[in-house]
Amino acid sequence: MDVDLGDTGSKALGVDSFTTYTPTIYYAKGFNELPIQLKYLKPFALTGTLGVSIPGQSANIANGSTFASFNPDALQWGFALEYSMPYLQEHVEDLGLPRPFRDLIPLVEFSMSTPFDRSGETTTGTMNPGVLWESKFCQIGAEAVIPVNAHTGPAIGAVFQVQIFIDDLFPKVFGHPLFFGDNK
Amino acid sequence: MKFMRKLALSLGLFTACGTLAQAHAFLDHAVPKVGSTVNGSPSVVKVWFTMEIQGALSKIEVFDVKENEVDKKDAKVDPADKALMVVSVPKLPAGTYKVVWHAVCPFGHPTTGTFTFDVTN
Repeated sequence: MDVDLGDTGSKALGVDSFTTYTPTIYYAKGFNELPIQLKYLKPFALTGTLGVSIPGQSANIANGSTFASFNPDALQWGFALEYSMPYLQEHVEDLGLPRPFRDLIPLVEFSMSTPFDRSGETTTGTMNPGVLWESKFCQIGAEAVIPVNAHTGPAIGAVFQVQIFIDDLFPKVFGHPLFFGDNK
Repeated sequence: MKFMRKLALSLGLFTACGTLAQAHAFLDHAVPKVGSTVNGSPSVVKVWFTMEIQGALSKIEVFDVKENEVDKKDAKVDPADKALMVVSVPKLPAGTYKVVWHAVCPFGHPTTGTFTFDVTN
C-alpha cells in the first residue's frame, strides 16, 4: 500500500491537499531459465507495478465552495526492462569488463496512469531510459523522463536517484535476527 | 545550479560509499572463468569474493550435467587470502560443469550464486 500524504512537500511541485491511497502489486521476472544458446539474454529482467490510486477527496473545491475539478480513481501501471552487467559477469560469462562498466545496469522504465472514472479518460505517463550504477553500499541512477503523449506534458526532464543500502553500511546493526540469532 | 548541487551531493555519497565496510560477499572472479571453456580438466576451482568470507560456513560445489557433485568436497578458504575459496576436482571429462557457491561474510550475511564452465579434451 502506497500512501501519498496530502499537503506534504513543495507547493511548487503541485502537491495535492488530500491523501491518495494506492494498493499496489509488485512483480518481477528474470530470465535465467533461458537455454544456453540464449545466454546473453539471461541478464534481462522485467519488473513492474500494478495498482489503483484512490484519492481521499473525489473533487477539488476552489474558493471554499466552488467546484473546480474531479480527482478520478486511476490504474497506476508501470514496468522496467533492465540488463544487469553484474549478473552477466558473475553468472553468465566473465567478459573481463573493467569497473565501472561491469557494475552498470542500463534500463528503460515506463510509468503510466489511466484514470477510469469521474471524467478521467486519458492515459498519461513517461518513458524513462537511463542507467544505474550499483555498488555494495548504494545505487546511483540517472534517467531521462520523456512524456509518452501530449496529455502528459511537453517537456523532457531527468531524474537522479541515490539509494543507500543501510544493512551494508551498518552490518552490525541491520540484517540480523532481533531474537535468538547470532550467538557471537 | 540546483542540478550541480545535487550532483555534488551524489558524488559525495559515492565517495563515502567507497570507504565504508561492506557486508555481503559476491563473486568477483573465478578460475576457470565464469562461462569459459578450458582445454583439459582443471585440478581446482577457485572463486574470489568481493570480501573475506567465513570458511566454516561457506562452500563451493561443482556438479556435472546430471547434477552429480564431482568435486572432492574439500572446499576451504585460502589462509593467505580469505576472500578466496578453493575446491579440488578430479580429472573431469569433457562437458559442462556448474559451480554453486555459498558465501557467508564475517557479519553473518549469506549470499549464493552459480556459474558454469566447459571442459574440452
